[in-house]
Amino acid sequence: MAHDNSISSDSSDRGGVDYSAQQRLPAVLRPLVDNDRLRFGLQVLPWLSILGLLVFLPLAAIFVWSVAIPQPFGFKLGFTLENYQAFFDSYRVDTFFTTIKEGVIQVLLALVFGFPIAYYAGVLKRDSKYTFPLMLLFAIPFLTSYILRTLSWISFLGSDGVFNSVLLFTGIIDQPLGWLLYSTFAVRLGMLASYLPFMIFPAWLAMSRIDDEILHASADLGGSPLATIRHVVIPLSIPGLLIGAVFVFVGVLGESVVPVILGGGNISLIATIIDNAVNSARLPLASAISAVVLLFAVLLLLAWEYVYGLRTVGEI
Amino acid sequence: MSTSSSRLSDVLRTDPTVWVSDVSKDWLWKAFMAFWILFILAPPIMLVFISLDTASYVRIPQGITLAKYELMLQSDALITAMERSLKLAVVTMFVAPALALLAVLSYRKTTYKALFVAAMILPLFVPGVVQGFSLLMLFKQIGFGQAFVATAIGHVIWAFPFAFLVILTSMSTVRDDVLLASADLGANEFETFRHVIFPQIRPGLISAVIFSFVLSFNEFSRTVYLQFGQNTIPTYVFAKLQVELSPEVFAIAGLTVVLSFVLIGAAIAVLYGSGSPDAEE
Repeated sequence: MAHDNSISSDSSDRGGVDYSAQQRLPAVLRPLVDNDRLRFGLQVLPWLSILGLLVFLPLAAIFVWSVAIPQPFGFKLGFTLENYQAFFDSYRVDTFFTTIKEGVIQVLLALVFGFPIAYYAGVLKRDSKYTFPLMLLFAIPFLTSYILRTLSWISFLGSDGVFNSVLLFTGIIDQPLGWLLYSTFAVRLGMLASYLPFMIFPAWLAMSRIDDEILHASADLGGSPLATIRHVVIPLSIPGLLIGAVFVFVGVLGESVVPVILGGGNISLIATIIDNAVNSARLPLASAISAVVLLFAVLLLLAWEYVYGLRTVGEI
Repeated sequence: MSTSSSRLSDVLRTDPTVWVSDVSKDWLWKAFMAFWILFILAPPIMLVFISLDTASYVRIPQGITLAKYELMLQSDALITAMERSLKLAVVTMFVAPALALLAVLSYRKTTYKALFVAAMILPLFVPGVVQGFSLLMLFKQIGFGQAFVATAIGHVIWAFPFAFLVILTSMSTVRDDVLLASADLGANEFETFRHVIFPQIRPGLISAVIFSFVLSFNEFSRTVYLQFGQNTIPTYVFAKLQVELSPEVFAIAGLTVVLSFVLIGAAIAVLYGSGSPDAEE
């Protein structure tokens, strides 16, 4: 092998053209280059098997477990609908509807507040060099813990917290507002702080991809800023807004922290119900609820596919 | 002339955006943005001050003491959780970007690019609770009980799509004709990667590594199902919160926020620092 190597490097020096790229590799790696199938296998199999076996397979298997027969301290594979009955014939289904309602509220809030932020960064200040670093600040919620961020809201909303102290100090109120913390309001505020960036980023991305010339053309044709927003910016950024809406909604479907920390028992979402079922070892019931939630998320994606085609995810 | 002025009057009547002057509009926009940035930034920063406050309950911070941090260092459970979180984060920061890099390299070769990306980031659309629970069921079914490996798998799956997107973005600056040129000059695949692709995507790789670390360090909803009783920092804090607001929880919270901010700053510096010379040219 070593002999081969020296000959080929000689010939490459002489010829000026290097035909020996493969031979410069250590012997162990050579099959990797020679054998396309092997190389492709090593490049693709690791992530493909993880995605397939550990993401998509267990998600599909949820539906099998959801019809398993519950046993004391476990379950037996089989077919029964009693898990679904335990979900649909109880308070649990009401929690599911609450979750959907809160999800819709969060999507609306995120649209109302996220759209102008994205518009400012993606259209008004698209050429400023400060826009990018500024928008990165909104990425911080992605990277700090839900738990801790939610915990910190207690210091703002509590009866000794920032809001109450300021309101008391300025004399707007006489005694601390009790409904600020451990209430539906607190849960909505906490979730908005978590999920707003999920709307801002896709919307910003979609808007920054609108051509300068289209925006100029709209202005040249006499379109006021509002008319430009309505007839140019909104239609062209709808894929981004849709992705944002799905992200926010799916986030609320899986939200298990904010209601527990900030809700004070006033509001509970479906993730907490799944949690309780797991903690009381009712795994098939938890599977059934997860299956319903998953099915709902899939339906959303299918609706999106129907309206816009799923490939817009890749294009954004 | 007359047409434009009549159009202006039309606009004046119908368009509220011209009711305010441009200068005050600018100020309104700035105030609006400042409000939302404060909304996003204030809570974590507040946590750092609370962790240094002299009172053991939550109030507007009025003094500075390290008492909570001393309490934190005395808590064995917290130290164990910290070690575990760090180990998981280190594993995730190597495995997730490595997998993502392989996926990005495969992405260059596929024809169905949009669908490929869609498949990669679809896991982001699965609620974390459902994903964690489905993995738990899988491990239960096959009788797998290795808590550390199980949690690490959950974390890698969580960080993978983010690492993929970051590396994919930096890979978009690598042009196909440069790769062809490298092949024409006689480089094999490994040499092309080592000398052509790697130098260009290094900032993306470094920030993918940092992001994976931070994402793993803060992961909660999957960890809680996969840890089999062995707490990480987020699950420890959550468990503690349901009992009482104990002081050492705020210390660990403050510490985590500072750590996360430093790492995010580093990631941005790497990404932005490498990108800016090109932007100026």
